[in-house]
Amino acid sequence: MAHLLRRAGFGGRKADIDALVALPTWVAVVDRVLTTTANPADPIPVAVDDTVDLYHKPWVASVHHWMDRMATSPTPIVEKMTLFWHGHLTTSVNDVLPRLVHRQIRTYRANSLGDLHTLLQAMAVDPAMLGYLNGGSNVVKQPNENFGREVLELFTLGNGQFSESDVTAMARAWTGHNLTDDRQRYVFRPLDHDGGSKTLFGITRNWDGPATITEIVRGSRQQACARHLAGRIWAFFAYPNPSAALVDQLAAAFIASGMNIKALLRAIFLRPEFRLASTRTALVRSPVEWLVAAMRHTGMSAAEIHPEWWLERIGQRLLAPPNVAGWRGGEAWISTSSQWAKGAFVKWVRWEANTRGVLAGTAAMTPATAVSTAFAQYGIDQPSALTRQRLEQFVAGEKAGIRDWSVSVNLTALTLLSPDFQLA
Amino acid sequence: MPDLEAEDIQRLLSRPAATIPGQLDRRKFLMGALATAGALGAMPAFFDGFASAATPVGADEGILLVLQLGGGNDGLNTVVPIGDATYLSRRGKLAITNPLPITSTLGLHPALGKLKARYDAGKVAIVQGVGQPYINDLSHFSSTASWMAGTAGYSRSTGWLGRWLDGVPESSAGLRAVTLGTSIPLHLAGQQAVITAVDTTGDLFGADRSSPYMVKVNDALIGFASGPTGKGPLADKLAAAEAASVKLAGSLNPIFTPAVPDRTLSSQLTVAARLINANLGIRVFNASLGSFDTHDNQAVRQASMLAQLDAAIDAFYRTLSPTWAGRVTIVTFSEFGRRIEVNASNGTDHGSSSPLFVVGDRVKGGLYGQFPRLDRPDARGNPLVHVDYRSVYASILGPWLKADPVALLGGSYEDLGLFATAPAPVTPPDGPAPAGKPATPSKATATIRGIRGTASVRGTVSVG
Repeated sequence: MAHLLRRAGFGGRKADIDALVALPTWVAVVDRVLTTTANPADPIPVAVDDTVDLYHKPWVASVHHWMDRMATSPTPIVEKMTLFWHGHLTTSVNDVLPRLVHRQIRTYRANSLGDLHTLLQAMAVDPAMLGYLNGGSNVVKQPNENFGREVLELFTLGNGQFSESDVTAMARAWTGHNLTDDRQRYVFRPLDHDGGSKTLFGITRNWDGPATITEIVRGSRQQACARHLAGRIWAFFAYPNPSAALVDQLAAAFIASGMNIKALLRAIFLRPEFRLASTRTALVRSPVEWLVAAMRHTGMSAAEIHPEWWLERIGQRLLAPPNVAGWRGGEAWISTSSQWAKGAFVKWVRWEANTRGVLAGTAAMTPATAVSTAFAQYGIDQPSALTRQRLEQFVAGEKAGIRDWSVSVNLTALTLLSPDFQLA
Repeated sequence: MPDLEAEDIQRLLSRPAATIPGQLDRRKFLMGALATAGALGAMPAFFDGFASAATPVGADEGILLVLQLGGGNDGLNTVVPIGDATYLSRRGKLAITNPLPITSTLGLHPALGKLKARYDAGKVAIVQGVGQPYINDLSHFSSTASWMAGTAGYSRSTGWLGRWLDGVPESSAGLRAVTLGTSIPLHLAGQQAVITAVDTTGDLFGADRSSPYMVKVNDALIGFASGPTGKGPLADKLAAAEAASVKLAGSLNPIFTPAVPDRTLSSQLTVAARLINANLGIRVFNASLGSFDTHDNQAVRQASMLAQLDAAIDAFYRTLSPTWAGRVTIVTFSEFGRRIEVNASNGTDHGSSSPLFVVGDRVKGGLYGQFPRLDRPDARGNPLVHVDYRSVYASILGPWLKADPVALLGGSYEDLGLFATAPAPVTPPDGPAPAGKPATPSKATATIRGIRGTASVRGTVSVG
């Protein structure tokens, strides 16, 4: 249960876990986690549209809005899947105004668990995407292949599943699907559209942009698309490099559902491989996930932890993936520099958490009980014996050194920096 | 405004180089690193920090320190046209009438006395009229992003030095590029390179052993990696990286002793010089000073900022071990200059071109580019751009960093010929190093090979 809540969300608190334990079967548990009827409304924060500061203030507002949703939403799977789409169908505030990226993510959120076709069609005419991959300036006189290429290579099919002439045809099909002059809204300009015949995936006709996505998701390229996304989504939720056989089976379930994303997730969580012991230790929390887990388990809000102070130092600036391929993830999150930055955060937040009563009373407990209390607080259900031993040793030492005040404060610090809490 | 903080630093550092604290002995550093390696067992991820710290800068490899003057420095009051009628009339009371002359027609702002001395010694190149040839938008954000990205294209996802760092061995493990401060600027951002943010206060987590409870916290964190976690290889790597960062912070502690007082530019450059002296393999540093956005009350504000710049460059060279002087170049940049005319608030508004400084012992001192004629401004009334900012990058990437500027910038830009000679160590006056041999350890020493030997294993750390 704790594993599922960490992967399908941002960590389970005791009440969350107890609610799932009460359910009769794993299928019921998975279906509960995937039930999204309680997904909260998604108003756009006023500061996202600040007219004086177009960059920093809207970025901070958008990050706070999203990380608070991640930490507190009753349907964290929606936010987790939105985080996947943000890293997959990327756009960065380094290239596009934050107000547009915020709306793009809002669109992804609304479609995060639905029909892949709907999501990709919305993505293709999203103003932030049109700005980021130059679709906004893709016109018949000067076709720009950037968007067309990434749709094929990164977003839907993967390397080796298309030809260079497909890229050219994609670019031509999307000509005229542009931005308004203020670059804030999508507009179709028939005069800038290439209405000639194009050969895409061996099919010659007068392709128009949206039809190419339909062809990929529902037509001749469906198998490759389903495999590409099933593999990527499995790697995000379970472990990297799934076997071809596993990907094939997931793709089959995806296709059978009519390319419904929630159905693919259901297939993933129901796989026995998802629940293996080795799967539970196969992913590292990204900096965003780690900070959100800290928020979730201390009860602190984004306004209180100031993610804008920490995200970049730890190595993941939300809304600013490093390139169109998104964050590399996995072991790339582990570095001396990021550990220093996590340490700097922890050194500060331990006092904030303590002020809010987190782990209050642990100084009066035996070391073993104090440490178990910390593990429960921070959602660590199967701690490393070594971590437990070192923490108990620490608590015993502080008590012996008559530093009772240090116990709750530094149990928070050490638990957040333990390998157990840093695993996803 | 007297720059007392910088004066304090200079007083602290006005001692013979050998006794300057922070001249961390490289050999001791490595021995410490190895000892720690033994204590923690053979966990490959542990070498994350140390392996990169262990490969020193090669004798013929250049180090670059980028110094950002944020906010748009007023170039016309930095390198001042002497007796220019347009300048005097349009600048009104903001015109600098007592510059430090470097030619009969040009002088430096009076606050730049030490830089002037360095210019007179032939160690400063002044590139005049630098800017973006096409500019739509004079916003700080757009202009800064363009400067930092440094590409012929439109993407601002990576920076000109980040793309170079991507190809530098071990950069994906960090400690090849350091920014003094807490956030990582776009010009250092690449796709793989890990940029280490080092706060001048030395507040690297794990370094603080001043209070008993922090000793215990640090010991517990190191203890998490004292054996297998039993939670798989990733957990072992996380534990090892945490332990390594705590240990490395402790090892770097001498760099921050004596403590620099603050986060001023002088403090940043003092720490940078100490890090160079320790020869940890760092090739690129970033430091910043701002804000130069002097829309009002410019005379006092800019003088104060330029005095800080002047004192900081001086503090840097006072701290830097003389043997390193031939392998370091400093380049300044600012996102734009300012308009020719004074505004109603005794300030200046956003303009276009401005001069920048390239400082170093291998630099061919003098004037480059062309001073823009103020009586013939561009359509918006701003000084003309005579040198494309990417041309400055090309002039550094090729000759100084031995990189391919065309590939990194996405286009071909003129090499301005800023360097007299290639990077090479300076033989100390009393140094025994024979001609042709580097005075500092090269990559070939046995100790270093020993650590580098783990690099192939460590490579798994950075491959996602």
